[in-house]
Amino acid sequence: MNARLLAAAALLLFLAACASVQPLQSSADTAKIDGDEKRVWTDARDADAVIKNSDQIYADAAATRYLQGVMDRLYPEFRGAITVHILKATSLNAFALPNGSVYFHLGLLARLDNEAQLATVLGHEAAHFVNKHGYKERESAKSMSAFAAVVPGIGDLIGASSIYGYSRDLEREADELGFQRLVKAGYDPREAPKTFEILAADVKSEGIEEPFFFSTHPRLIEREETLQSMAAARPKGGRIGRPEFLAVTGKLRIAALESDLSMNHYKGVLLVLGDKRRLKEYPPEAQYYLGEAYRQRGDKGDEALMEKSYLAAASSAPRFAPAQRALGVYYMKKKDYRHAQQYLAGYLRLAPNAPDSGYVRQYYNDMRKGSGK
Amino acid sequence: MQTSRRVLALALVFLAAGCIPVWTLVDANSRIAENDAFSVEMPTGWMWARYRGQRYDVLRDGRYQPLYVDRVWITRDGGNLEFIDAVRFNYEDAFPYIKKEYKAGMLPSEAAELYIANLKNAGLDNMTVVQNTPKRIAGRNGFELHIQYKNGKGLQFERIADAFGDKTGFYVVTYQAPNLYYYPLYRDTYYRVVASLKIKSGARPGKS
Repeated sequence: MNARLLAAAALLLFLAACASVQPLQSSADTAKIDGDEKRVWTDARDADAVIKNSDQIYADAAATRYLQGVMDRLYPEFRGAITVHILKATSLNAFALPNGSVYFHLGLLARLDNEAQLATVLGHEAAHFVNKHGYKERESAKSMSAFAAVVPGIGDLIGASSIYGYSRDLEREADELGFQRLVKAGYDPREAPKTFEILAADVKSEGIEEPFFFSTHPRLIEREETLQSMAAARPKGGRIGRPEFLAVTGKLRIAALESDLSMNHYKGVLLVLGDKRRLKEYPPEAQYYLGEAYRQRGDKGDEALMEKSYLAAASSAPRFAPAQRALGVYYMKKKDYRHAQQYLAGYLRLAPNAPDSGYVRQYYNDMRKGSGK
Repeated sequence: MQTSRRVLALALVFLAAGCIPVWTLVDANSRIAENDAFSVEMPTGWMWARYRGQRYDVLRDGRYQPLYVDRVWITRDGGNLEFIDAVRFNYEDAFPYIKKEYKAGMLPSEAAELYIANLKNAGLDNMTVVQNTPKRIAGRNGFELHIQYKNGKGLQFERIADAFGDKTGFYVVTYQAPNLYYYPLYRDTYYRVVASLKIKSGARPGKS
């Protein structure tokens, strides 16, 4: 059998698998699921348990309630059937399991600008659930003997596509239904393509091909253009929800910065805080995180930018201990022991029991003893 | 016949790559494990895994890439229940998952920060740092890190890492065990292994 014939056979099997699956109409339909579909649900529930047990849920009740509220506004007939969770993960992703559990990564949430953009992503992910894409792709993959598990722990339970993106056609279908729901719920449709613009900037800065949320099919640019043309065909206006979004996600966006920096992922932090408009959305201590990102990058000229950012944080947020430590360690390495001791003492005064206070105490005492090391 | 040839070929590839450990019971006459870089005193009754070639595979940029390290890996009841792992990395390979190296003059707190980032990028992004303190190890300034994480079944693991760098490389001794029963049981044994660590006077930087 040649390659063309094989591809045609695979396509036929895929289409046959898809054609026989009917979308869900409301929460009530979930009670009627049986047979193979029921097994897919059971696997998804097991995946939920793995995620919960391994402590990967970001526990912020107010933010989670807010996301759930947006989802219920988009899909009111599925209230109670679709459950939104925030994952601690810093990558730019969101995914829906076949049982209606939607996981929004902290990293992606922190990059968005307003509620309408959040609704764009939620609308898209819930469409995968409503149209049973997880089940469809699993069935077609089984037919083609190509069902590969790539996510340790849960990939073998639910299939990689739930997390890493579906086929080109299913992603397009989810974009279309998600967009319809966005408009119906009263959101400004022009925010939908902007979601892709913001994330495309991140993709460029990280030097990665495409993040999971976009998947590789259809291509990012194609999806952005499609959403632009769909938005252009709609009347202007609608809910954007920026103040509400920024208020609810304030703590969470700081957590995302800390998480990124703890993994040495400084590029995303520079992208966000290097934008003066976005920097203003953060509390004054955000200058410290910007300084940390410059330190981690360590390019020519970054040292001066780092010091300037640390000083700005120490001046505008004098009770924020990490900026004191950062300046203390910086001046110690520059052998400016007077300033180093001043800032390290400040750190120990503000955070005497911090997990890393042992280092700071040792550095401070070494300088006091005059060894300067 | 075709299948047996494939199995044999695969086995040869694994052997050549040093992936198959040779297990040795530690007894009173074989307590000292040593290599070109360091020696440690192992507890009797534990099993020592000798890896041929000392290969350490790291998933980077979507594919496994080999690092060559000096390593002593021991366990009493099996790696899932407890292990102690002493490794010397070449300093350019010290933090492979973030593509950063250990640099001379690096503060212990800076090395600890990179070590944590490396662990998180290696897949332990759900871990919590319990303690991160400076420590003298084998006569060098280093750090001790205590972390916790849970697996998919909710079982909590504890891990301690004592680490330092010098001109011959980046050294890490690790102890890991489930919090339930095993962790407190062999923690003192681990500290005895760390205290026995000696860097060889003639140790030279390894080659990548």
